[in-house]
Amino acid sequence: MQGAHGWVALALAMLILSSAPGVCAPKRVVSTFLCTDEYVWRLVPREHIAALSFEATDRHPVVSTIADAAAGIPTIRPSAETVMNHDPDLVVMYAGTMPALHAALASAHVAVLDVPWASTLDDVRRVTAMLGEKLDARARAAALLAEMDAKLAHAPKLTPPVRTLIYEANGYTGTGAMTTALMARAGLEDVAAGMGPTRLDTVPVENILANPPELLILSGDARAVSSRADLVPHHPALAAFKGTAAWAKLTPLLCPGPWSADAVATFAALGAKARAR
Amino acid sequence: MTRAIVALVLPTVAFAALSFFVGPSHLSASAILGGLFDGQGIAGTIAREIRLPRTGLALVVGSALGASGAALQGLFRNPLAEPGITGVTSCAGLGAVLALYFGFAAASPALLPAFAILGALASAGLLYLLSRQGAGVMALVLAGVAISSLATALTALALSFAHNPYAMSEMVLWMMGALKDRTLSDLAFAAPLVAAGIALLASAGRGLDALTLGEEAAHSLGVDVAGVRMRVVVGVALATGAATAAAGAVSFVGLVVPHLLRPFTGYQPARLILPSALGGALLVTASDLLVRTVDPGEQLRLGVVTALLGAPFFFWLILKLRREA
Amino acid sequence: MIVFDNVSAAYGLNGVGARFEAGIVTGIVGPNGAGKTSLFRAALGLLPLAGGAVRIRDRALKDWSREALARTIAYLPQGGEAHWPLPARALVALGRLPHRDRDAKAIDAALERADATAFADRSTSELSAGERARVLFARALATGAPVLLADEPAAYLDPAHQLRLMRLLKEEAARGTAVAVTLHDLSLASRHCDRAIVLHEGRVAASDLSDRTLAQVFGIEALRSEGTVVPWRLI
Repeated sequence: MQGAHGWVALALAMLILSSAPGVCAPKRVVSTFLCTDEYVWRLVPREHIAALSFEATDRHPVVSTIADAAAGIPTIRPSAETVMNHDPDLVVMYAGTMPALHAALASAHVAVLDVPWASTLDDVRRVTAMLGEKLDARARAAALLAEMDAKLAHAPKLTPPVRTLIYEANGYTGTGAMTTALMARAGLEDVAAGMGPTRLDTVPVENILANPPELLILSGDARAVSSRADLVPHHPALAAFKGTAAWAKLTPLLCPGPWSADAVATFAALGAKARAR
Repeated sequence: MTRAIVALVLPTVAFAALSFFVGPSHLSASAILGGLFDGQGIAGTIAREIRLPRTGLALVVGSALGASGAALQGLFRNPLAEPGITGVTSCAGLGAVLALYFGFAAASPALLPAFAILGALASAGLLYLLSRQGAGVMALVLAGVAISSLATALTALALSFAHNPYAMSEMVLWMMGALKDRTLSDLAFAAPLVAAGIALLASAGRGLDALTLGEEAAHSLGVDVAGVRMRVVVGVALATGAATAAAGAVSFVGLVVPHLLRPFTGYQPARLILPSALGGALLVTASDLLVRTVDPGEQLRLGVVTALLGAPFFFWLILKLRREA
Repeated sequence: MIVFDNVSAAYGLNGVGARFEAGIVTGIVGPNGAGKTSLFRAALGLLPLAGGAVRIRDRALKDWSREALARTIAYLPQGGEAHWPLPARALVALGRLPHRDRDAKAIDAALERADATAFADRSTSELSAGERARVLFARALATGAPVLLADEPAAYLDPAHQLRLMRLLKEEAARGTAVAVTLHDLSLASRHCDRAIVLHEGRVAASDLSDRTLAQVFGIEALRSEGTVVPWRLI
């Protein structure tokens, strides 16, 4: 009898040990960064989210697309201590960020899921599918990608493309490959490179007036003027800008993911407005 | 004094013109000039809303700091006195930071220079008390270091609590000064306040001359010494406060300019104030032009240039005073 | 010209009664801390009085405007401070501030009387101590005030310059000015002052420099020549 109990125990143990994270859905997920928050919120059921990073619900400023929706979920300022406080069985981090936290979690033998950065729409599809696997949320991941494709397909084609400049606080105009691709889907052409940008990717207000694009998208909060950086897109001289100027919150573009396609509708609407003049 | 002023006017106008005509867009100088006068079209907007504020503020800020330095040196009979070293610009910066990052300036743009002037008054008030005790050279500098350090620390504290994500990174801007992207509104507020401050300082000239002989002799010559102190303190607070609200803390202008001009004005404090204003305007305009030419991306701050000129000068001055003592 | 009527002040004066009269040199002497400078400061309105009154030209001090007082009393403070290295003539011109003019004749006359014309155009930083003292004296004269108060003007001067300075003061008195001077040097005081006020612990201890005064107030015995005090030694 002793021998049989031993074999059953061994078999059970092997069954338990063979379940790696991902095969069994994690029950206490902690996310440490805004861009992983956005994924975790959409893929993991709410009751299995132990904590998100503080940026998910930060109001000053609002940087996440889920600031309202995620209200009530505990948030942390990520450090080894705050992460471990929630006794996670999986910590989702961005690959290459917070090396100290990575090391601390490794030495504590806590499972970490590294999310790679996506710089193109194909990357987004790959990463979303991978996360669907690892978080045992394949159906949700597929749904997200389907939604994204639908939004991308819906975009009107403006010819020729509307010459557009995205202008942020401090006069910053650096747009990544993804943003440029999404703009192109909406019929907008990014003209930052031809506006005489400085080596920090800022464009002086003067150049915007002297060489006006068709559409000037002022990114951010139309009311926020509580720093010198904010004052630049609010410069009174821009009142004389000859094209179409509009304020828009481009939060979906801050983190690459399926939600970024939401920006296409915004771009398309602004592009149409600019062309209608 | 008139000779000094005349000699300074030409280079100041020349640099101001250069500053006005230099810019990132490729509009011709004649287009910009035309734009300034008729305000028409893009050239008009650029000339009036971008070039004019920048050049105008360089002149205004420089004249505020130059005149303040001359007046403080006259009041304290101390060639090391100037708004930066005595902590006045740091305190003005603290006031301005509180106004900008905590929403007051958004409510009313006049509150930005107002808060800066209040900050400047607070530190100038401390200077007033020190001058009553007859503070010596080193005591004044040490007090200035203490006040500056406290104001800088409080500024960093305020910025770390500000909600705006750019707050902390703009700390450098406030400590080192910049004129990038300033508006006509900035100039419209700064110019009259600085003018009022300089007028007040100039009106204290007679008293500053008398103070050459010491406070008791000045009193016996019919000078209201407390009144002179008050005028210098309020004048410096107005001029430096308004200048710092617009440009951040620019140091050493008020140290270098009066010292260089003093031999040309017969060493009399009253005659030094207006020429120092002009000399300061020249120095800041030239420095801003240098900043824009050397680094069009404008990572190089205005105050860095004036500090690179002024700090070695400060060293040399201290050594010279020690040798004379 | 100036009458001190039982003047008391918080630090330094304890019921002092004295007068500075026109046409004479009044010497004020006393040990350190006796109140010599305080007396002058009281006359200028620099010292708040705890009791008594000061009258100038028979008018109470408080009835004098600052400007009028500046035209009436010329003050040469201790230490000879001239902070910036002005040209001597510009320094003397400061004496015209109470009149709000730059009367060149008055300035030249003051330089002349102070025997400072020779270096009038040099910078004060280039002058010797004696020459600077004369320039500062000229500044005091430039105001043309009927009262001249000089606080320790002879300090740091060599004997020849000291004697010259005392002669200048006598010449001023001879022109009708009320001259009052505080001195540490009893020899100078006794030889060149028409009247003496001896202060001790804030009150007037004597108005002469007799042996008794010297013994009681200063604790010294004087050697005398021609009746005046010459060098001294401890008893």
